[in-house]
Amino acid sequence: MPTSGPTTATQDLILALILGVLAAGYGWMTAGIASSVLAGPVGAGALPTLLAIALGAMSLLLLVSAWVRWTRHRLPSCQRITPTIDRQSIGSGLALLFIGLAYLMLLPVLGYGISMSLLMTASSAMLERRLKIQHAVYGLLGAGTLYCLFVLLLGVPFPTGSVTSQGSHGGNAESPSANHEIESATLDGG
Amino acid sequence: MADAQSVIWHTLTATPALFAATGGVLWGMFGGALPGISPSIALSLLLPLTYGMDPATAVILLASTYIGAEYGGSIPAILIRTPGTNAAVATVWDGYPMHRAGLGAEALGISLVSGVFGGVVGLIFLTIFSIPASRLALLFTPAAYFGLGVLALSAVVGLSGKSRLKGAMAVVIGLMIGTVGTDPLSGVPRFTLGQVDLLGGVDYALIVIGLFAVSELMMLAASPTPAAPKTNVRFRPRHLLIPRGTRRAQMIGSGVGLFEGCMPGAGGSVAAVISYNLAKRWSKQPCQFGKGSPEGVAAPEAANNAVAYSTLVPTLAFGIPGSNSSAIILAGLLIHGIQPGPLLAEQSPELMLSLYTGLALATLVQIPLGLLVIGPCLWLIGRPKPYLLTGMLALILSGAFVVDNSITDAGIVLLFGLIGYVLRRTGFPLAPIVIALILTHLLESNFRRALVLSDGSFAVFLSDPIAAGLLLAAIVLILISAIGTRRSR
Repeated sequence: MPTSGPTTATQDLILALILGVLAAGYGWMTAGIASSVLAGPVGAGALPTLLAIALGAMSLLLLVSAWVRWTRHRLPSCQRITPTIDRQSIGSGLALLFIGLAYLMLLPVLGYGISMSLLMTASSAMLERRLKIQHAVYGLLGAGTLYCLFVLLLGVPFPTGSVTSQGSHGGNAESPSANHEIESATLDGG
Repeated sequence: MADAQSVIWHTLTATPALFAATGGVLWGMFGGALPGISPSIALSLLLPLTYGMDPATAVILLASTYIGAEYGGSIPAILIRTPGTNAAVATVWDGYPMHRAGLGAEALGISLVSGVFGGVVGLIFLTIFSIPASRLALLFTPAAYFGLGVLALSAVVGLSGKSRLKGAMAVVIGLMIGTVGTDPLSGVPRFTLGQVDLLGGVDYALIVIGLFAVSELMMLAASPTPAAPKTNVRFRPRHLLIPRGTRRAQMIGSGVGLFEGCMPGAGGSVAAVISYNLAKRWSKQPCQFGKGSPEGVAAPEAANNAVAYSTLVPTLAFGIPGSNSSAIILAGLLIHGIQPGPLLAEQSPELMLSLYTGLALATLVQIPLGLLVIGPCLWLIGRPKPYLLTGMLALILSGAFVVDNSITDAGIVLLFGLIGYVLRRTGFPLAPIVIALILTHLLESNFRRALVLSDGSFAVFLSDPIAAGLLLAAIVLILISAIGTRRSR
């Protein structure tokens, strides 16, 4: 969670700038909304315009208040304390996200079972900061359980993967009951 | 009457309502028992799986999960001093001292029985008032609906914690996401970036899963949580015979829960804390509070369970969610093409009756399930964090694919997870984003319909007495919360 004082003020400053840019971009895109006689007196762009102005104004307010707090808390360099953000812990959160992203990239290639097993092994090893045989066993068992639930029980057409399906003559979706959805799954997977 | 009986009988015998109610309560109890997994996260993980269900089963499953999570949250609150949900914070204050005094099973019994008591009161309230509230909603003009939407959003901002500015910004961000897709009046595409998939807007389920579940996982991965202390308790049916002195606290909790559930943005945690304070004030033994008072467990547990039912009154009658959990239930209805509002009871009476039946089943199965889940819950709480988080990530990514059989959807979930993580780390509340997102259609379409009906005159919002009253109430609410913030400084 954010710490108080200069760290929070710096975070707020950065966030206010990001949201200000978001408001500007959103406002710019609002100008491209087509007009229509069916849109009523205020048109389809009225609410988006209002929202862009509101977010812009609030971002400015956050920026000013964060700036005031930042300058008030600013200390001489000899008295400055390093912000207490734990970079390693933030790294764990982001690493989890990247593992999830890697799984999505591997899914169309390796298929659901193998990619899920790799995801579970990698994320449990990352969170424990070392790789043990238990992680691989957990990955295999977990992926097997989820395969039974989603593919065999619920019939979700997860991609089997381009690598694993090369040798098989069956469909390229994992669900036996979803051959009609094979094409859409492959398209999505691609 | 005969029709109602046949619908109830049909729900009980020919639909999977009993399975949905039992499964929902069980899933909610496990989810609620795991610290960090709020009812909204338990609900959001389940949301993709409801796509293939019929609407009644889906809404019974979601509502039962919410009910189960409220009890599940009290298990670690009582046994390991760690509230499983925000609403269980007040349960810690007396539940844990009871456990320390060797009365853990008694505290769990009080929690379960009080929760069921609050649930029964809430269910009666929901059954009696949801249809009259729907009739009241028929009096609402588009201008009045707009006023109601504004009041709901101002209440959400007012209750959004330390920074109301960030709460207001979160509301605007939610409304911005809600404008993506086809304009509700003219059919003109907005912010779709030329993508056909975005014409229908961004799927609620993906945003909810990303913002709540993925961001929570990232927060949990980033926080070093000590292993849960080992504890053992034998919870037997005799522990359900709770002291008579708790009756008053249960009634206070239920009353507060009914009221708070109807207030947008309040939710179970506010109700639990208020009911705890009221129960202490009106108790014959107020000095026992904080030292292991059974009344201190009964009041908040009755309150947060009553909220789980009463929050459905504004959700079903007006389409206004009372909390982020009811916003997810509302999203579940919208996903199935059901528009809550005044016509819901008239157009889909079977759905309402099925929901009441399902909730009654969920309330009843709480007692046997509550007795059975203690052991497995304690086992689950004691599992190493890496395995729990990994299992949840696997479930989230698999569930996200189920929404539309699309890998892109799972990517959108991760993107919203990252957004939610950044917002949480910078102190932004997430609930206003989801509530605003769900209210965008109601707000915008009614605002513009009101202007069409009044030939573009903004005076319609002042000439309509309901609209004017609601907008005035919204202004007063914002002023009160602003004054409160200034005083607390």
